[in-house]
Amino acid sequence: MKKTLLIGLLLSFHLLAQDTTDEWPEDDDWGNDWDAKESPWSQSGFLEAAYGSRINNDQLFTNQTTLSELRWHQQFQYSDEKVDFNWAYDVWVDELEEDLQFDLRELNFKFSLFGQTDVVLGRQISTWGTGDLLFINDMFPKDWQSFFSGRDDNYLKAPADALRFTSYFKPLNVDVVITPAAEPDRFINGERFALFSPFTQGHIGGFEAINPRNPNDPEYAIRLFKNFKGHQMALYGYHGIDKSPTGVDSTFQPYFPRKNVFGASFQSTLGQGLYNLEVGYHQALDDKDGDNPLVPNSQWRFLVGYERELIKKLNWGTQYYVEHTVDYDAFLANSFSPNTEVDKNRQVWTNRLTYQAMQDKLTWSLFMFYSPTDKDSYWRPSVNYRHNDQWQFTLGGNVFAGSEDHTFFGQFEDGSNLYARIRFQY
Amino acid sequence: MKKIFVLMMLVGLFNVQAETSVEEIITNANLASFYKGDDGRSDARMIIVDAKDTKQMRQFVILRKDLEDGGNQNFLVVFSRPSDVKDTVFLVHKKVDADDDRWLYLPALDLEKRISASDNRTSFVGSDFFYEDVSGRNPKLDTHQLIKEDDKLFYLKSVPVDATQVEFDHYTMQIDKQNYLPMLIEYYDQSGEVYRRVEVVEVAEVQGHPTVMKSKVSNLKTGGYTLLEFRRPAYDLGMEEDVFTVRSLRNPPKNWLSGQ
Repeated sequence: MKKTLLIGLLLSFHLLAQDTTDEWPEDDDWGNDWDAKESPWSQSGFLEAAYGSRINNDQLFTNQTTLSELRWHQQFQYSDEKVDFNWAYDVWVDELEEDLQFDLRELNFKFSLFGQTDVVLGRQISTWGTGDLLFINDMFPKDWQSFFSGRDDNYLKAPADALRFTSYFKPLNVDVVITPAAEPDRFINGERFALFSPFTQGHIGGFEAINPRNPNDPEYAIRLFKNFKGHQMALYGYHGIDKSPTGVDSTFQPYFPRKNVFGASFQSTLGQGLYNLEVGYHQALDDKDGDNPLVPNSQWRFLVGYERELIKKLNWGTQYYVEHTVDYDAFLANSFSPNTEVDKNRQVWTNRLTYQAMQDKLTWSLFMFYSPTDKDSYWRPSVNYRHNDQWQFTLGGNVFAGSEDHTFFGQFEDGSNLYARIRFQY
Repeated sequence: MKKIFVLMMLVGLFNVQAETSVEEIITNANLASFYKGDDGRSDARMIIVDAKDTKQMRQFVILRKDLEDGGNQNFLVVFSRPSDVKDTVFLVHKKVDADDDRWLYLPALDLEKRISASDNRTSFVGSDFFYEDVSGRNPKLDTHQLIKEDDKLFYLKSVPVDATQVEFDHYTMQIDKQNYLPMLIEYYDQSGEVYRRVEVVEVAEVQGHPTVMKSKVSNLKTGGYTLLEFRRPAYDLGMEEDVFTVRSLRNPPKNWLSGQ
């Protein structure tokens, strides 16, 4: 039934698509339609069908489908001289979830104050930092379920109800994001993908295995940044929560431990390419001495990256990332399961290759995470074909490999999947 | 003997004159094409047509400010169509003697992305135009030769100084004597065939500057082509330099975008 609906919808949109291409008559390619924005309102969106399935069986799941959805994304925008209003939402049906799903992606007002300050008020998506799919100082919510299941990369970022001020001054720019009620990541909770539990020393999944206490503390994030002759520098500060429920409270319920982050980044050119450095100290406020086995210890996180165009339309980016756990001796001494704990200096090497062909219509992409310390890896191959302004087709995979069950990527080995997406945008 | 000497001097003199004149033509053509006024804005749209007659569209506003005539300049490109690139912003600090600084803003991720220098002779946003066609090619990268001239046009042939950096063997230009706009540029491959053509379709006078309103790039190998049309161009608007900072990625300057 769902499939019939899907095909019907796609067909009707195909007819619509043909209508819109008629804007440009054959005899006069220029036409007259400039979309001149006479109205301050504009709208756009897409319909997308997506399907993904595990490569191997995961015994914890009766259904090996990881994604089976029909999604409608819609956005409205109002824009005049003084203010912008943005409203965007997603509605979808997914075989893996019972009801119709709704996600409010954006509902915000944007305006400027005193000439030098930009304000965004309401539900919004925020990003900063220099890492590519590695986040040290970006503590804004991420959607790992979407990321692992093969939805568009744009869904990696989840929205939050927040207030953002960005002020631009000659010596320094100041960016502040206040989230009154902390917005955690959409973390892997066992529903769609299984994960390793240090308490059972095995995998849990096939149901919502992690159901944490909701955080309601505010989050404060600040960035001071400057661009000096092409050199970009930033300092960061954050007070809030660990975005995944990595802690367990005294009633043995998972929760989001309180956290501070202090960091800095630098980005500039090197030869034909760009390099970036980023560092952050993640301070575990609920485990300052590192001896509480129920809350992860403080960590230093470092990142160095480089990217450049190798040949025409082939881009390569590489990063080396180190996560240093502080008070490691106390950490191990108090751990319930020292054999499956994280290394003192967990390291990850990433490589990204992107190749565009057919006048940018075809994009081949491969992103690889490899950890020499965890001996695990995560491969993200994809190919996207953009047929025209309406139709896009994507094939890809999320492949995890590891020699041990408990490591960061290795624990998701049985969740390895392939996916396909068809999108009609308007 | 004396005659030969005089002749040689004359030839030498003639050569010098010809060289300055080619240099002048190229300088004027570069200024006329890419440096009109101290700053400028225009709406722009492209229709990209491939060999199978599949059509795509790009619509954007382009803002420009020159730091020096014929020298470094800043660009801001704000896309409005199609919907997957809507509100995408591209900021370029173009440097004549070094690689450009470039930034891209992707609104769905709120991602402000510094991008590394890329080959300037590759597709600009999926069209048949190259980055260089839009922002200009450094005239010093080629040696230029005046082949002939008639009442209306200078005919030039240009050969790359470093042939390994480009896909063409040479190109020819027909430059309008009145306004110095290159009306037709044809790129030749190693076998001497024309495989790429950039032509001006329509010119209009805007605030005293002859301005290209319509142009076309044809890929003669594939049969694909791209039409580029400008609307509401304006010059010397007094754009502030901070229009071309990272602030404009998240908050593009509305007063310059609207063209009012």
